[in-house]
Amino acid sequence: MKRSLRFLAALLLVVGLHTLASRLMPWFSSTVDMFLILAIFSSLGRSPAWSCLAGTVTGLAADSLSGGLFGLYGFANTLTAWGAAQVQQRIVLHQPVTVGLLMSAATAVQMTTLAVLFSLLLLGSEGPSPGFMLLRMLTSGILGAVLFVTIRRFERFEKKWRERRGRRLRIES
Amino acid sequence: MRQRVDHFLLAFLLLGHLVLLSTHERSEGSRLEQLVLGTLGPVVHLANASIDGVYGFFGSLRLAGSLKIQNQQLRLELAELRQKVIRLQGVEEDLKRLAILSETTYQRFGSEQFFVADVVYLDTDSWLRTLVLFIGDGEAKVNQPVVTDRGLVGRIVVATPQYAKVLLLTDRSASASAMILRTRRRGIVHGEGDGLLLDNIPLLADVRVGDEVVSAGIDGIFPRGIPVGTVVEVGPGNDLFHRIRLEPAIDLSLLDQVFVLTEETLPADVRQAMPGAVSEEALETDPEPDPTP
Repeated sequence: MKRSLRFLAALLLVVGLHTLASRLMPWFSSTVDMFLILAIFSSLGRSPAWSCLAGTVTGLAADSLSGGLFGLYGFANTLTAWGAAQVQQRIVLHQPVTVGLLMSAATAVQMTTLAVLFSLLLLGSEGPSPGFMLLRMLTSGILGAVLFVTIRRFERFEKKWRERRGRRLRIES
Repeated sequence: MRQRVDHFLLAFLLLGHLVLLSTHERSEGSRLEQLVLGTLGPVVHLANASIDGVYGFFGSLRLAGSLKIQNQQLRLELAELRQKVIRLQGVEEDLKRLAILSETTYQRFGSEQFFVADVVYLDTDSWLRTLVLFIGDGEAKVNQPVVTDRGLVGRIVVATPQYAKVLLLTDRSASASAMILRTRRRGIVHGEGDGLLLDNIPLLADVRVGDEVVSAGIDGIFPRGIPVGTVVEVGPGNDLFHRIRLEPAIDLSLLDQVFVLTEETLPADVRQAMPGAVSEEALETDPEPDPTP
C-alpha cells in the first residue's frame, strides 16, 4: 500500500514536471520520457507483476497527455517494464552505469514497440526515426544513471539519519 | 506458479491495451482515457497555473521595468513639449503683437523705415531712465527715434552692432518738441521721472485735461504725429506759461518690443548744412508761436 502511494505520488510529480518542462523547454518531452523512467525505476527490485502494473499506469498517463492513440504508450511501457523486471531479476544492478544501460535498453525496447505499433495501427504515419531513438536512449540512460545515484545517496542519508535518531532515542530512554 | 501469474497478468494487460487501441474513438475517447485525464488534469492544470504565475510575475516585473523607462521617456518628452508649447505661445503672442504693431506702424512709416527690436533691459529706478534693446541685424544709429504702436518711447543714445541704449522720454534729461493735437499748440515735452511735463505753452493758450499731445516733428529727431501723452493736469506755472503734466502714452512696464525708426527726419544735406541743428539745445528753443489764441 505504501509502495503504491509512493508510486502514485511519484507519478503525479512526473506529470507536473513533464508539464512544466514541456512549457519551459518544448524539446524536453520529445527527448526525455519521464514516464518510462518512472516505470523502470519503480520496477527495480520489484516483481514482474508490479512492473507490469507500473508500466501500464505510467503508459496510460503518458497516453492521456499525448495526442496519439490511447493505449499506445500503455502497451509499450507495460512490455518494457516487464522486460526490465525480467532483466533486473537476473542481473544485479548496483552501478549507475548498468542502470543507465538498462534505461537505454528499455527506451530502445519502448521505441521499437512504438514503431511496430505505429506501423501496424497508424498506416501512413511515420514512426520514430533512428536518430530520435538514439537521442532518447542517450538522454534516458544519462538521466536514469543520475537519478539512480541521487536516490541511492538520499537513501543512504535517510538510513544514517534514522540510525542516529534511533541511537539518540535509545540513549535518552 | 508465480511466473504463470506474471505472464497471465502481462498478457491480460497487453491484450487490454490492444483492445483499447482497437476500440479507440478519437472524437470522444474511452471512459478509461477520460478517467485518467480527469485524474491527471488537475495536476497538469496546477503545473500550468504555477508556470503561468511565474511567467506572469516576471512578465509584470519586465513590464514594470519597461513602463518605468517608458514613463521617464514620456516625462522627458512631455517636458520638452511643454517647453516647446511655451515657446510657441510666446511666438504666437509675439506674432499677434507684431501684427498689431506693424499694422499701425506700416501705415505710418512704411515697411522699410523701421525695424523691430527686443527690449532686453529696462532701467526705471535710476535717475536716468534708459532701456537696452537687442537690435540683431538692424543698424541702429544715435538719435534714431524709438516708438511703439502706442506712442513715443525715446531715442537711441548709444549704438553697438547688436545692442542699443535708449534714453526714455520720461528721463529728466530728455525732451522733444510736441503739440497739443486739438489746438496744434506747440511746446516742449520734458521727462519728469514717472511722467512728462509740457512746457512753453502760454497762459493764454487753450489747454484742457484730456488733450492729446503728439510729437511736433520740428526737433530733427522725432517725426510728427507720434502720440506722446495725455494732459492730466493744467496749472499755473509762472507768469507766462502753463504748467502742464502729461501722462505718457506708453506704459514702460509693458515694453517688450519696440520699433526703431530709420527714417531721417532731416535730410543729410540739410543736416550737413546746419551742423548742430539736431541737439538738445535746438530742442530746448522756443517753438514758433501758435497763431491760435
